[in-house]
Amino acid sequence: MTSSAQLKETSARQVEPWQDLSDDYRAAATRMIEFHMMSEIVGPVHEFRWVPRAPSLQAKLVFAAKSQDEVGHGLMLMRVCQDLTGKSRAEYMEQILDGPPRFMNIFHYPWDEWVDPAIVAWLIDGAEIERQATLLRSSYGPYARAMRKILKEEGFHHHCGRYLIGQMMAGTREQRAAVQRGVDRWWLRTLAMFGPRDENSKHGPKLMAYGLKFAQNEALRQSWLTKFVPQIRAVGLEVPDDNLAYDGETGRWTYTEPDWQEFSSLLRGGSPVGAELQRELRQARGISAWLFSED
Amino acid sequence: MTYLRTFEVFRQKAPGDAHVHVGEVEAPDAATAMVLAKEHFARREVCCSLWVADRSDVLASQWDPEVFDAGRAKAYRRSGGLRTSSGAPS
Repeated sequence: MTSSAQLKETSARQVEPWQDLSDDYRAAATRMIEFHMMSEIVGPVHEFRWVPRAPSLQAKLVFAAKSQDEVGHGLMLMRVCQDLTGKSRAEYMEQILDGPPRFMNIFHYPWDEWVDPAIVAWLIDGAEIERQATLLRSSYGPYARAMRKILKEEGFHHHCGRYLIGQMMAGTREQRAAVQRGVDRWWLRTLAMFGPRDENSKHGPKLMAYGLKFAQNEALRQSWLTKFVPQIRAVGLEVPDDNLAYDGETGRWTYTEPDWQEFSSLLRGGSPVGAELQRELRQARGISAWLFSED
Repeated sequence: MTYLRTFEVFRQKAPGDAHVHVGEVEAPDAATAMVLAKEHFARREVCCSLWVADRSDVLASQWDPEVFDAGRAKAYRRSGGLRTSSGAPS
C-alpha cells in the first residue's frame, strides 16, 4: 500500500495504477497527464494543416510523420489517464472535443507562416525535451514509461525543425528575414511555455512533493536558455531580448519576463485559435462517426 | 465505443531477446490490436516480433513487493571461497 505520505518520503519510488493510491495523488497525476494528453491531440491539428502546404516533399514527409507521432503520444497518454480515472476513450474524446481548452499555450497562437511550424519543431519541441527528460523518473510508472517513447520521437521532431530552419537560413535574404520574424514572434511564448516560477505556480509544489515532476519550471527554462541561445546565434539569428544576459558567477540567465497574465488567461479561458482546433477535430470525428456506430 | 478492449503490447527487438511490455492499444479484437500495435510501437523503433494480449487475460500479482524479498536471503548459495589452513582466503 502506498499512501501519499510514504510517496513523499520515497519520491524515487514509482507506483502503479493498481496500487492503493491516495485520492489526492490520483487527482494531481490526472490533472497533469490530462493536460499533456490534450496538448498532444489538439496540437497536431496545426501541424497536419501544413502537410499539403509544405514547400517540399521532404517537408511534407516530416510533418505527416510528426503529426502521426503526436497523435500517437496522445493515444498513449489517454490510456494512462483511462487507467487513472476509469473513464472510457469515448468519454475522453468528448472531453477533448467539447470540454474546456486545457492545453499548452503555444497552440493558442496562429501558425500561419511556413516558419511557424518549423520554429515550433526546433525551439519548442526542444523545450519539451528539456522537460520530458526529467519526467522519465516521474513517480507514476505508466507515465514515466510512456515518456520513453515520447521523448525519443520529440528528439526526431527537434532535429527536423533544426534541419528546416537550417535550409531557410541557407536560402535567400527574404527567407532569413522570415525566420528572424518567426523567432521574434515565438521567443516569449517559448519562455512562457515552461510555466511560471514555482512561487507563482499553483500546482507545481504539490507535483514536486509527489515526485510526479522533478524539475522546477525556472530550472528547466534556465537550462533551455543555456542550450538554445548559442544555437539561435550560431545559425545567424538574433535573440529578440535586449535584457538577455548570462551571469557567469551565478550561472543564471536574466531575461524579459513573458506576459504571465496572457499565459494564464490562455490556459484558463482558451482562445479563438484553440477553439478552432477543437472545432476542426469535432468535425473530423463527425465525418467518421458512422464507422463507430454500434447500431 | 464500448466494444473496445484493451490489449497489452509486447515487443521483441531482436531474435533471441525477450518480448518486453511497451504499452497498450484499444481495439475490438486481437487482429486489429496487432495492426495498431505495429503502427504505434514498431514504426520507428527496432522490432522483429510483437505480441498482443487481452488485458483481461492477464493475472497480476496482488502481493506487497516485500513478499518477494524473502527469496533473496540465500547467502548459503554463495561460496565465500576456499580458505587455506592459515585461515586467509585463497
